[in-house]
Amino acid sequence: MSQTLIAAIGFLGGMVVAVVDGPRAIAVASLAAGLGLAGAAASTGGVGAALLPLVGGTAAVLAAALARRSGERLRGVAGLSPEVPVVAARAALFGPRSVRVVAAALALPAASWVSLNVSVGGAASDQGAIFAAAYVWLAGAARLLRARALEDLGVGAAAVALAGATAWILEAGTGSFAEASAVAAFAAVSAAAAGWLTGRHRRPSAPVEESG
Amino acid sequence: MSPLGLALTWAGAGVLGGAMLPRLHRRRLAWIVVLGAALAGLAAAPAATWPGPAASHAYGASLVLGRPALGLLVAGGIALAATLAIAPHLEGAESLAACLVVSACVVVLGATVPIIWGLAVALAAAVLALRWIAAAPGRATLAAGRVMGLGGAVLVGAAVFVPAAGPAVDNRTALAGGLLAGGVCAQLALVPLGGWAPSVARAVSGADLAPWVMLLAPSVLLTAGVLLPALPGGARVPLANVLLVLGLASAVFGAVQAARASPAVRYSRVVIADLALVAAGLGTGHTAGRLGGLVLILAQLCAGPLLVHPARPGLGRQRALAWLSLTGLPPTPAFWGRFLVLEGCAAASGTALAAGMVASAGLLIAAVRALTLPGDAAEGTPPGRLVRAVTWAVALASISLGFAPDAITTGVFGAIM
Repeated sequence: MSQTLIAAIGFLGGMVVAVVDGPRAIAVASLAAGLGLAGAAASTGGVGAALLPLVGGTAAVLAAALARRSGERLRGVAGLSPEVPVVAARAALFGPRSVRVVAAALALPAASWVSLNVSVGGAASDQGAIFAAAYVWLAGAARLLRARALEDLGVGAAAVALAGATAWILEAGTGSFAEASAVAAFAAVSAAAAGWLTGRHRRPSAPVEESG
Repeated sequence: MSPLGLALTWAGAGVLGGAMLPRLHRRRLAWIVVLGAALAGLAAAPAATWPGPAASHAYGASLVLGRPALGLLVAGGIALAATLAIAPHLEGAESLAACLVVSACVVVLGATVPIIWGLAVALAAAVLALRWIAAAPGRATLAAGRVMGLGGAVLVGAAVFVPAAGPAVDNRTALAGGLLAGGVCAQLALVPLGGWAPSVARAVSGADLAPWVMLLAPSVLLTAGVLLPALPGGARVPLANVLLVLGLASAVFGAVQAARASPAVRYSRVVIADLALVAAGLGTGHTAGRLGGLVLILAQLCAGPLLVHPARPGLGRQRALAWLSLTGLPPTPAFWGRFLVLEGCAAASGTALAAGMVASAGLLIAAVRALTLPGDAAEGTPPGRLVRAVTWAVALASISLGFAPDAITTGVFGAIM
């Protein structure tokens, strides 16, 4: 596969990570990051390696859905919603998503510098793969840095985990699936935690008996 | 017991203490569960050599716990149990978060490859941030989540560049050293990334703060101490220099703040400054600095369970003894710890020694103010006999450490690294 194409797919995955919002943001971001990084992983380890970010992203989607349903069924107190900002946003000319888009734009030259100047494992010539992993990681880091709600932290953690797992495969080769899988699983853990909190928060409250 | 078994034991203890006991209306008994998990660490056999998250090409996902790591897990776990026992109020989720953090710390301490180390630090930071935000939603806890989360992400990123970093300073090696330094500083709340720690200490309860003070930060320090000698010069020098310079700057800043602080936040300022001194001791690269760091960690593990909580009626004398152990006057444990760190600083440079002395003086003033001008209105009901017995045990342990620092430190951490 062309290194330019791998870099372009990684860029698209990173952009989705940077801008996605809403109740299923972590699942969407994980899937997008997994798809965006599959080509990069494949450039070193073939189809087997490509499956790692893909399975990691898909597992995050499933974990979020299952945990959400579990949260809706469990009894207990309704807790924190991951979607609600922890603090009220200040009035500003640009909203949080605009700031993230700017951060994603700034990440472009940073990821390019890494891909051009830093050799990773045996993939010294696979600059597109290194760019894809670096860009998704930077998009996740920007999400963490500008987080306003738990959902932002979850999106950032999932993206960083999938990018880290892919970069580890690029560095250590196909003999490192155990460590890379453990890192990629963090995306599913993050999605499950957010899904469970969302389900718990949205659980229908018990009907209140009206007096009189 | 294997390291993985120990990590699972801690996670299981968290589920038992944090999820089951509240349903049985027995949340006050969570400390017994935590104590049991801590003592389970005694069943684990330490490895002869502790590789730590070594920077090597020999990739492998096995976990290996050395004697210092096991000592920290047992001592920190006991301190955590004492903290929960003394806590004036428990919601129930504190013990779940604490046990999950310790479970992640087992992996932090046992990791043999840098990416698993970074992942475990990120996981522990995520659990703590989630708990803090849930307990006290606000700017302080959100900032903690941002900085600690980013620090964990940076350590995961650094791990990719660490294994093949070379002795010469090329792009890759510089990136590895810089990212490692940034990630470690974020987790240890060193300036300029440390603004979140005092704010969080003000916002959350002592039982919620304790896992960071007693396990996560010491685990990061201990593993950084093992990682440093294994790194090639190009990555080791920036990390060591950053730890030394920012550690001393944080210690001076924290000590000045502690000397001026109100009683409610005084201890949190002191512990943040002491952890920064430990980081500076590591950064010196001298054995004395590392040894002093271990003594300081033990001193905080002994005094922390009492002082991390607000004052309560009936605990004044015990708290006074704990503050006395942190004054830094001989023969208190803080004296030995800070003295050895200063010895390491003196070997590094005169400026480092001067900064370390300023920090130690500030911490002395803070402790003396706590002893002479308590000003901390004791509120709430007096504790029962069991809690009083625990507080006396904690106070006496914190004082007795000063009379045999070498024997006790070696007993806990084994032969010095």
